Amino acid sequence: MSDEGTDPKDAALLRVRKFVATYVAKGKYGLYPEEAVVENVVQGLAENLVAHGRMYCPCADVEDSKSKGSAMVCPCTPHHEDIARQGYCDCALFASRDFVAEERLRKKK
Amino acid sequence: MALELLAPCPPFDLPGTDDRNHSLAGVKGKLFVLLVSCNHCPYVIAYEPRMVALANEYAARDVAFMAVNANDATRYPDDGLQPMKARARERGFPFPYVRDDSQALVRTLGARFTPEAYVFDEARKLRYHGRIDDNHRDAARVTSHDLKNALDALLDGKDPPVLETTAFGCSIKWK
Repeated sequence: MSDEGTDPKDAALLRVRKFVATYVAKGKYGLYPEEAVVENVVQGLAENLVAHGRMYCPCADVEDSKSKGSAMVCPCTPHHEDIARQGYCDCALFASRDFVAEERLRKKK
Repeated sequence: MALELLAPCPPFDLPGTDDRNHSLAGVKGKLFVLLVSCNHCPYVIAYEPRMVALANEYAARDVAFMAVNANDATRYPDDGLQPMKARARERGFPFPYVRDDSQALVRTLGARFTPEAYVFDEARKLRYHGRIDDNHRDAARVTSHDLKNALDALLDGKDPPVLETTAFGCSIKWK
């Protein structure tokens, strides 16, 4: 990690936040439309980055994920399929633009 | 759509890990806590000791607990009834752990995550919905015991201090 002198968790959080922002800005998905849920996933990704060296999905068993190579490293292999099926990935970090719009509309009602 | 506050608990009759069926009509207790749960989610695994402790603590105060797993067991075999039986045994669940294979109950509740808590009063109307507390990682660092606070308030004849919180965890594995 290049952030010498900073707390490893803080440096990991910075890296995760940057990745998430870039992925949303450049990709076809938005963030899951509940800030608290997203923040919880971001914290989990940062913890896994510190503890295991990679951004393993916090909604999956890390040891099991390790046995799958990069498949369960965010953005994980199944997230496209999960978003197509239910509107959001299994960790509820990324969501389809349609799902985000529908949720916003639902909350307004 | 999530079940609205004061809405009645949807009726159910589901098989449990104890090889018996459990129905809403069969639930006894002044309050009924229904925990949407599963086997494989790390958030649930972190919360299970707290779920057991809460159920044991509140049993003496006539609060019934039940956990329901609706995850698609085809894609996630660890969430099938047999692995659920093993989990209930390993963890010593003091409450029924039932399988909602059709996902009908959990869909009607409008649940989205595991774990997600629903508290129903004696008339089985929804009085609290959301998270168990605010820190799944470390029980010692919890600052808001939301489920416990709701139970204490309701047992004192008051409204929960917070009626709804945002549940977080793993998403339910829909079919």
